[in-house]
Amino acid sequence: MNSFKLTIINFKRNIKTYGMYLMAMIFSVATYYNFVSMRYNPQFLKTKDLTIYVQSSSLTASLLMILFLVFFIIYSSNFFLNQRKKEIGVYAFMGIDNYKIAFMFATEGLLLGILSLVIGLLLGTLFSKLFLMLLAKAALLNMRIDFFIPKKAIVETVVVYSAILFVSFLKGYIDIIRTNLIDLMNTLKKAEELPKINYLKGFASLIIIGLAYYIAVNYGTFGFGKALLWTVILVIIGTYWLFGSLLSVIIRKLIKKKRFLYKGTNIISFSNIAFRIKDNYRTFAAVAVLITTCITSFGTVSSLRYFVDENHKIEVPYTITYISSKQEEIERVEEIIENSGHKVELRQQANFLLVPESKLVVVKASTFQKLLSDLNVEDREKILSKIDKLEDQVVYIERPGLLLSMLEKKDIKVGDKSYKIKAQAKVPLFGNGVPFPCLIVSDGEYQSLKIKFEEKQFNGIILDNPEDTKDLTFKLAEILPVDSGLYTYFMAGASFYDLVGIVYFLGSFLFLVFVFATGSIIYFKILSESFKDKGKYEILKKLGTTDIEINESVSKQVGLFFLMPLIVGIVHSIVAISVLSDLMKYSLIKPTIISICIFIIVYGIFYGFTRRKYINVVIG
Amino acid sequence: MEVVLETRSLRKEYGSKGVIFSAIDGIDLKVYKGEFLGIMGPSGAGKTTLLNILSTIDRPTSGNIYYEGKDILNMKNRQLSIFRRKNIGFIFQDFNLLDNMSVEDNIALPLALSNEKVKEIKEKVEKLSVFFGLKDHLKKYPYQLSGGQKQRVAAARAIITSPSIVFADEPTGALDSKSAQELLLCLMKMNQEFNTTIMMVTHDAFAASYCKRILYLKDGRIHARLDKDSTRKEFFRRIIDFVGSMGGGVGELL
Repeated sequence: MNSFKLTIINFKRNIKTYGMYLMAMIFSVATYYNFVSMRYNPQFLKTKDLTIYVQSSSLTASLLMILFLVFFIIYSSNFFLNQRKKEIGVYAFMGIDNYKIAFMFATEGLLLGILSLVIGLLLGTLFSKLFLMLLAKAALLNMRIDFFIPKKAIVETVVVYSAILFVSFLKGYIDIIRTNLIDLMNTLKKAEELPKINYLKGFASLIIIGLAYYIAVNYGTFGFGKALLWTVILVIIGTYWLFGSLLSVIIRKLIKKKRFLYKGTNIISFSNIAFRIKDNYRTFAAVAVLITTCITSFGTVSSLRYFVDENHKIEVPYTITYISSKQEEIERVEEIIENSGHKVELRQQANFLLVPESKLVVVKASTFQKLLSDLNVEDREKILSKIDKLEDQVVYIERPGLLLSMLEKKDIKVGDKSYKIKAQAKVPLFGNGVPFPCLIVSDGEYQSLKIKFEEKQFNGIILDNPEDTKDLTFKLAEILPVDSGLYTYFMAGASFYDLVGIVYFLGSFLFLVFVFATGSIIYFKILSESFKDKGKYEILKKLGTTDIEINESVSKQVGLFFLMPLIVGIVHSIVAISVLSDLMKYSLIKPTIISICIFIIVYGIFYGFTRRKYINVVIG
Repeated sequence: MEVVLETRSLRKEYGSKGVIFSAIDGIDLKVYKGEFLGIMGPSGAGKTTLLNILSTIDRPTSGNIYYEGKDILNMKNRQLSIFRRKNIGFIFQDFNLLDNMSVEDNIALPLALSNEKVKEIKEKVEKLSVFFGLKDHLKKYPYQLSGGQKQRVAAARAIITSPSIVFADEPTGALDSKSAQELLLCLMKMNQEFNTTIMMVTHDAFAASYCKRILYLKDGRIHARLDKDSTRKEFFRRIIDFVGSMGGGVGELL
């Protein structure tokens, strides 16, 4: 029998062990292929204004995938190597030289890689139409997607994967050549020792994380860029120390508390965790950081989408807006609308003052109140309560279309008079037709300003079918002068919303990929534990531990391994998202909760898988 | 005298159609309360199989096992596990301590799993640690102990539930002669002071000489029985003579 045949036999025998790895690899190949093929899809390329968005997001997404893959392959091949060191040892014992063994095992990895590449490409091609259709839908594009196999995308995927596979083949080969026979035989027998604990580092970790949070929340004083950099660095250090030291301190305390420890299976689970922290804290910390990245970035893209939806209400509160006080123009507009067959749902007229030198408009409190209640703005009571008894103060309404406001304004000048800003808010008012910030002043103050500035009349109309306003827009543009600032639902267009749609879709997809990555990392880590624990559970069974108790203890142990990084990751991301929400001046509670829930569900599925596999290993 | 354990025509067969090998070939046996019983025999005589079956780790092909009159073979796996935890103590050749638990937790393990009162567990651990000379080592971990100490921890764990019987499978097999002797003295003391019933499988005539009664197994049957009626040294000589007469090499047994 030659070594290649042996490799094939091994490969067939181990295919079950490789199940999870294969799945992750196939999934990542398929995903990568889809990201790349997006770039070569003729239909997407035809839509000129989209090309740049599609290309840049496809590039970013595929780069991230490569990063993940390199990390994942190195991680899992280490796992497999450790798993099979004894087997390698036996071959070495039988007198097969290291080079041949190395070649055998590395080839096995290569076969695995090739298999997943082929299956991944097949699945990827199969699903590419679905993927692009979803993308088009998410981006609100009105286009037909044909089934299409871009050769370039396949070539690119094959080249990139082959490169990664070749590198991992070389790494595996070199790793095995370098191992000693004695190490190989003894790997699983190595006695574990209780790790030392470092109180100082443990408590320092809390302080460091606290400091990071403080910097993040007070980004205003430190400057945004600096705050971001320091927060990231401190959070990573703090998280590593938290799991490296503080967790040991806590678990050791629990183990000393016999009242807690001597309660059923606690004694098994917690004694095991105490020993395993040393081997696992890096994984915990890496997973916690990954979870934070995952939830925060998904939170960000879904917030962005949420924000855009909300912003749309602010930018386009009416179907048609224009500025005119000429009765004859207004009548002609009405006539055109009537002829178009649309039904008018709301007709609004309001006066405001234009202050050209400060680039803002002024509206009196009573008008403001009427506008908001006619538009039926949600939570308007909050802002309306502020415009009572304004006197010399004003309320500042942000310019429609403003994404992030970094500055907190204290007072503002109108002409030669300065006003104190009582409150700042983002609410629908005139929309993009009047693209200026707006000051709400008391009715009395308005009268005195009216002398100095020109008063204009705003006209807003809401129609029953805002989507279909293309013809109407062109007709209105013919009769209205340029300075009327005609703005319609059609003009608001889809360009920006398209971009957000694409970003949202790719973001969610990458989110899924990363959840998968996080899950696989923790899965492999825990599974390698399970082999070390096999002996322990055999002893426990002999001593009369029931299968139910073993189940319970495994659930607890594996559960804690999953739960600890999850909790830390969630806390980190809540802080991150709250800063984001502060930046956007929006409450992002809804998208945050949704993204956390989705993450927990997918992560929970991984927990179920891992737990089952673990129990199979220790009992079966 | 009260019977702790009784078997009737116990059989264990391995293999399938045609080629059947009987590891245990009809064993009838009674173990009385407070006994220190030794099981000897050459390799392949079925000693370990017998021990595994008696200790409910394995099931016989046919026959009955009664613990204090109760038939245990009717029990389901879960019941059997709990029965094992409460009524049977184990001492293994390779200690089988859990490396990730301190000595005190290792000893407390069976009671902790049964959710006994923490105060009582602590008291029992304390008492046993004094008895086995482990008091100074309670906070240590198995990797910090010598073989003899480890086996004493295992012995303490075996009797913390006050089991009706303790099975010891070659308990001195992995120990040097001094530690082995210490352990055997411990077992003897355990047997005398707590009236613990012990059943010990051993190869070693010296270890066997600490027992009160010895059953000699051969080819899955009880071949002979030796009772201690004089000093241990005298008994040791008789065992050696007997094993010699059985044709087994003496060297194998020493």
